[in-house]
Amino acid sequence: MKINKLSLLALLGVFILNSCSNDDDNLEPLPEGDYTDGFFVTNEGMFDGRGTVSFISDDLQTSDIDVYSTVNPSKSDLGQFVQSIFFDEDNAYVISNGSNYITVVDRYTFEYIGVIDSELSIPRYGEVVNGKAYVTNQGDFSTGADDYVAVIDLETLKVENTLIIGNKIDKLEEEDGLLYIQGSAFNDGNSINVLDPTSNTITTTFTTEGSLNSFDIEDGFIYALTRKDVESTDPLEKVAYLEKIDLATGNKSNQIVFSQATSVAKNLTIEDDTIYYMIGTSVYKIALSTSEEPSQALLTFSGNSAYGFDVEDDRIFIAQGTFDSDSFVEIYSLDGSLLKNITVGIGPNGFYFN
Amino acid sequence: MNFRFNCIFVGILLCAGFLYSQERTVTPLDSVYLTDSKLKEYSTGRDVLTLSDSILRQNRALLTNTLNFNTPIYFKENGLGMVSSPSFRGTTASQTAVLWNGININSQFNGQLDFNTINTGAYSEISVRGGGGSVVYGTGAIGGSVHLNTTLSFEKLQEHNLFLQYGSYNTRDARYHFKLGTDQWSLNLALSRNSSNNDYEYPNGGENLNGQFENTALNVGLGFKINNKNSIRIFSELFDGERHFSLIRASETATKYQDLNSKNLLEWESRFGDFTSITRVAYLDEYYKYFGNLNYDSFTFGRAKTFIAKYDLSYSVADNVTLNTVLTNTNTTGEGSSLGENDRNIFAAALLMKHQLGSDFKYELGFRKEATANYESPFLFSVGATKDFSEFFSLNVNASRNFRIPTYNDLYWSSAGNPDLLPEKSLQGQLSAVFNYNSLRLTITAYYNSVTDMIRWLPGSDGVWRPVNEDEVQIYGLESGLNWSKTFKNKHRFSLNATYAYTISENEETGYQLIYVPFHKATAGLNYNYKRLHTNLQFLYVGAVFTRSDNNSRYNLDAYTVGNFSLGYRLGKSEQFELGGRINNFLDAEYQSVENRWMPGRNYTMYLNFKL
Repeated sequence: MKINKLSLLALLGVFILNSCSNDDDNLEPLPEGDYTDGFFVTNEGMFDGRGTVSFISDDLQTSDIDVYSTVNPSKSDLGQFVQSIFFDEDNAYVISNGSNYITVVDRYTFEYIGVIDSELSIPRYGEVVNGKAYVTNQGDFSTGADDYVAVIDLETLKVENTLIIGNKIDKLEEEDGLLYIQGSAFNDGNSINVLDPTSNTITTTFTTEGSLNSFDIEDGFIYALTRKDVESTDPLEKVAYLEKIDLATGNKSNQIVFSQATSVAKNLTIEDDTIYYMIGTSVYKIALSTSEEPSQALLTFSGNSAYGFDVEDDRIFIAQGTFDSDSFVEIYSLDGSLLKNITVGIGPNGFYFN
Repeated sequence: MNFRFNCIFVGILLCAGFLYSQERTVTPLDSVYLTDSKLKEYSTGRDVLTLSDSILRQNRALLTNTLNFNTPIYFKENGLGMVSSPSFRGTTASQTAVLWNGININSQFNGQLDFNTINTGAYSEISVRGGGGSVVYGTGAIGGSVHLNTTLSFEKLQEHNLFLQYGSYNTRDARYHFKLGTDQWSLNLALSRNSSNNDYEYPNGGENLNGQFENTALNVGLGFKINNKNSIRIFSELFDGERHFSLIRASETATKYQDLNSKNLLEWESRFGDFTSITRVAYLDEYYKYFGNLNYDSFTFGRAKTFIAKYDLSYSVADNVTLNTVLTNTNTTGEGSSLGENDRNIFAAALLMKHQLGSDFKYELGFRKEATANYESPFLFSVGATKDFSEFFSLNVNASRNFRIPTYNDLYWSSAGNPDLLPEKSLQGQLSAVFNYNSLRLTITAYYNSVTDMIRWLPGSDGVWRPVNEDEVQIYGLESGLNWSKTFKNKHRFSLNATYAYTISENEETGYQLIYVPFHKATAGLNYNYKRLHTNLQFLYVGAVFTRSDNNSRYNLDAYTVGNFSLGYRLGKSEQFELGGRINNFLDAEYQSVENRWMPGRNYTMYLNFKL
């Protein structure tokens, strides 16, 4: 999706800037650092351990299982349960939800810059808009009433505002200057809260029919994977839905009603007008407009528990949910063939691309 | 692992072998009654290690500390006083049964007992028995069992004991013990309170934040002999504890945990002819609250009320043969934040027999079967024998099949509990050689234990963690114990107690050693008395442990040796006061038994013991 926008911009650029002189001095210098060409994997770590970040080069030939310790051996660690990373310009912000702090590093060299360690309470994910970071916080697990977004001044690394959302919140995504916040945590919750960073208020809240697992936004629509309990002899059986919400009108429809199962669709992500999602350890792909459940999986992961999942730059990334020893990730091509299996830290949960 | 220490340890063993004394170990008086009588009567082929209340007073009030320094059981402790779980003979945290006056008190929720929620000041003695014991003690007795006992003395007696201890980190420990007896009545009352700010420094410069705890335990035993044939006894305990969970980093979310537990047992013993019947009813109330974020009032909880009815009938077939049946019905009503409310009823029947053949050989047999709707219960057995070859040497042998039942969390956790779980099963055997030479006693035990259907929580294909019968573990090892005492010139009295355990506990599928099971553990305690002076030296050695299931040694926790030293002086005409001090961890070892959880460095306590 990001690639899509970039290529569109590049295409526009070709038309608009065509008449300009081709002056090399105008080009931004390429970022320098050992970790410029590749991606990071966030590893939660063990319950009593410390989370880590692994780095893997784009050509999949080199990797470092604990890049932060390699670069910053004398600094305190990344904290318990490294949950996610967000980027802003040359910086990467690594969120530890067990230790309530965010470590700021150079995204290309991974050198320590600073830490944000107050007014955070189980921080989860962040996005940056206009130089301010918006970080979701879950606070007390037993209720969503206290869940808030911390607004962080990235110059001072201080929380300057906390916005109570009032329901459970988790991932968030920036689209056209607005922040779309997943109003559910661990499949508990059924809203998408829209936060306007210019006023720091919730302007709209969309609700989904089923409890929300994951969503993505494409071409003015929210595509959301949700699930509902069903009557069954097996209490674990559920039915999953692909719900579609029109951002402009708020109109909702069920695009796909999946068949009932104990393991239902999860981890939706959209890349190049294609929806990717997982059921159990299998990856499925469908066109944006499809209303039919696909009959066949694109690929089946070799691990027994798929934890982190992403699709980016024509590759599919899956992380094995191993929590008692170093784990691994697998990288597949879009046609489902395995490119590489690479060892990473404990409990890998996400992929972040430089 | 640590070769030098092992050499020293073996050296001590060898030296001790050449020393001798005329003293005999003191045998308990017949007038002292122990309700967990099976521990003495049905441990043929097994060794029972008993810690008296005077040994208990030489240790911190928390059970972890006492057992860590005096037994082969290994402990995994999240910092001093925090969550603590045992690994006994290489088994997991829920495979050690803890018995309170013979009643199994492992948590209904997770099957374990947190050994830092037991205040040792509440008991007369604590015993430890290695190896399986499910036939008599039920679920969890796979690695071994720990017995918290209150004794009743039916003799003319009035005794007060007050023990006060104050130490670093504002640690307070007060224990009061009162015993009153006649040949008809007996009362044993123990009141114990322990609290600490527990804000010790870490070797890396940090401080143990939010680690404070406090707990109070009251334990009462009361016995009455109605006549020659009938007696009634009541045992009751109340425990109230609050513990904050320490933070690894200052910005972390502060949490705390509260326990309010009560245990009550009423028994009626009746003798007629060659029969002895004991009817018991017990009521246990286990109640915890967990505050997941101290900035909020909200908490999650679990509460289990267990009602036990037990009928125990023994029959002396002949002078040397005893038959014993035990019928038990256990009914538990449990509820909790993520559990809903569930009832569980378990009926168990056990048949025991022991037979003395001549003066030098005895054996015992035991069988147990449970009936419950909750899981498929295996048939359990135990067989043991002891043969004395000479005054100096005897051999013990024991084999048993044991189990650990699925817990409330395993069965009923909302949308994750697995109702189809089977109990964990263990088939094991052990052989011990016991050497007695004057006051020297050395035991060496070799054992083998195969544990199957181990319950483990694993993320399912849908990402939800669920318990499954997954692992098979093969455990074997050596356990040894040494006791020796001697008095020189009627003035210098020495005693030495030492243990050493070598443990291999490996996952059958991968061949890797289980995490947090050290290959080596050793303890040693040396006491020296001279006139009114008393000193005690304690050592604990724990070998390196793996913290990763793939045995990646990069993440190992290092081996450590911790030593404590105490010095006391008795005052008063009849030496009724003892004033003393202790240096804990006098080597100032920097150590952790769980990754990122430092234990305190050198620290101090003062104590006063007052007997009347």
